[in-house]
Formats: sequence, structure tokens, C-alpha cells
Amino acid sequence: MRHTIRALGWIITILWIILLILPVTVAFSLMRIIEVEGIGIQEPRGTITNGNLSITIPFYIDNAGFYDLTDLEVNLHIYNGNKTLATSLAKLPNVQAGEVLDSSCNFSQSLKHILSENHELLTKDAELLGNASLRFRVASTIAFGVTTNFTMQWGAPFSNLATNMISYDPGNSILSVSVSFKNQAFFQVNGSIAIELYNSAGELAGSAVHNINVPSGQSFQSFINIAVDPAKMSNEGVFCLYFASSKILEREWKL
Amino acid sequence: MDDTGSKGNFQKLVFKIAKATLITAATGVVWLALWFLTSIFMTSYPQYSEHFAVMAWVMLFFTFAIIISEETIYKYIFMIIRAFFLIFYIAYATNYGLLYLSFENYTLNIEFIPLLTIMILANLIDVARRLLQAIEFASQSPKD
Repeated sequence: MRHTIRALGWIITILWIILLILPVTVAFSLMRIIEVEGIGIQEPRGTITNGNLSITIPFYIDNAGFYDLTDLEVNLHIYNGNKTLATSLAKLPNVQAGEVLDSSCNFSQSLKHILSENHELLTKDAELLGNASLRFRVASTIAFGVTTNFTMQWGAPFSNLATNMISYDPGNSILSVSVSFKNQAFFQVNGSIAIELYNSAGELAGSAVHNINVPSGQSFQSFINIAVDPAKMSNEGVFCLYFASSKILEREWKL
Repeated sequence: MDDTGSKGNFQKLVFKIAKATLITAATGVVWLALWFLTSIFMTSYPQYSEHFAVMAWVMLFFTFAIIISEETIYKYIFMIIRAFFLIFYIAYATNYGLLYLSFENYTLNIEFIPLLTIMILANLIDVARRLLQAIEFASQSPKD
């Protein structure tokens, strides 16, 4: 019985040593990661192509600690007021001690879907709310989760959108419209703008498509010539402006 | 003879109480040092002071009770109760291995269920060990 009691005593001692050493070393490991600023977010990138808005937020994890980081998960939610704009859940590979992981959070959403509930984001700047969380496990025993709320400025891709009727050439049945806007978004606007011209009876009198490629922060100004059907032409009506099949503007026109 | 015997017992008891008081006080100093060391890092965990105080006072009580009851079966009973107390109280105080801390704009959650399991295992083994020690103690004849 004495030997059993002694053996149990040793087991208990070993378990308590593990129990005390593990959290302390895990804390030191995390402190080393924090010291070298081992977790960081880089400049977000975004594009609009084929009617899809894609946003990529690159980040890195430099595991300067002495334990592997496992079960890594990044969760990002972006809200416009109470409406969820986009969510992203990225499950990342394990980061061995001493390794650096470069990864990113990717959002890809149909522009049509975003605009169905957040139409104003195309033409008006806004303050978006975000919620980001990072989860990981250290030494396969202790899991950490950090959650933070943040705000981000949304720059409208079609800021200060303005359209003006310039002229109508009855001989060639061409109506010229000037379109101008500034791309305040952090991504390039790439796609086609479509204009549909309706007469006073609501019939489609003419339409035109114009390809645009406006880098972030740049202004756009162009004349779009619309070939109109002279039989349907009237002195006033409505015209609609579309981008990637989504209506961004509707206004009346008058000659 | 009886008078001498009871006087001896009284002296023994006084010595035991003095010894228990000294050791409990020394243990108290260790708990106090532990408090100063850990409270710096636990400012964002509001219940920490309360949980730590309960834990420290109960552990001090057991230290005192175990020393007072030395050479009796009660020592092992106290040790077993202490092990069970550690299991239940640490599990309760640590929210069963899930802690939520808030600081500035961040919410930090720490999940350490595997560590809690090791702690429970260590205490259950301790209970088994104390039971064996109690059986061994009880099996010895008074003259032993």
C-alpha cells in the first residue's frame, strides 16, 4: 500500500507541475507574439467585376511564441445600421512555432444583392459597423477568442453622381448625356454603365452602354450618346442609369 | 498521575495550536503574495478578488484544521474535503473553464477546459491517495 500511495503522490505532483507550468508558458508565448506585433491587418483591397463586389482584407500571423497555434478562425461581420452587409468566416491552417502565416478574409457578394437592401451605398458615403473575432488554441489546451467592434468609412463608388442632357441631334437621332461622378470607394469600379431613355408614355425610346474603368479616388466624366427611335421620341420622359444590372439612378429629362 | 497526563495533553494541544497558527500565518503570507502578484493581471476580471478571497480563507482554514488534527483520522477526512472543495470551487469560480474578460473595446474569452480536467483528475487521485492513507492509518494498532 505504501508504494501505491507514493506512486499516487508522484502522479499528483507531476499533474500539478503541468497545471502550473502550462498557463505560465502559454502566457509568455502570447506575450512574445504581442511584443513582435505578430498579428496585424493590412490595407483592404476590393474590386467590382462581373456584378460582384469582392473585398479582400489581408492579415498576417507571426507566431514568435514557442507553442503551435491551432484551430485558427477569423470571423468578420460588416453592418450598415442594423442590416448585415457581409459576413466572412475563414478557417486557417495551423501556425507552427516560429512560422509566419499570410492570409486574408474574403468577401464576395453580388452587387445586386447588396443594393437590394443598401441602395444608398452606391452614391452616398456611410459609416459601416464591423465586428471581428479571432479564435485560436495554444498548445492544444488553452483556447483564446478576441472580439472587437469597429467602425469603417465607406466611400461611395458613384459619389456626386450627376447627369445632364446636353443635346439632341434630330438628324441622326442621337441624344447626348453627360455623366459624372467620383469613385470614393477604396476599390476600382470596373464594368459597364447602361442608360435607358423612356418617353412621356413610358416606352423605351433608346439605350446605350458605356464601359468604365475608374480607379479609387478618381473622377469620371463622359458623354454618352444614345441612339433613339425617332418615332418614340418625345420632349420629356424618364431615364435610368444602371451599373452591373442594378439601377443606380432614375430621373426625369426634358428637352 | 491523571493530573500529569491531562497537563501533558494540554501542553500538547497548546503546542499543536501554536504550530498550526504559525504555519497557517506563513501560508497566509504566501496567499497574500500570490494575491499581489496575480491581481495586477486580473483587473479586468471583476469577480477575481471575491473568488480569490473565498479560496484563500477556506484553504487557510483547512491548513489550520489539518495541522490541528495531525495523528488522527480527521486529518485525512479534512484532506479529502479539501480536495473536493478544490474541484467544485475552482470549477465554479472559473465558470467551468470559460472566462470572459472585457477591456477597452475588446472582449477576450479564454477556454481552458483541458486544464480544468487535469486539475479535477489530480484532486480525484489525491482523494484516492488520502483514502488509502486513512485506511493504512486506521489499520495500525494504537500502540503502533
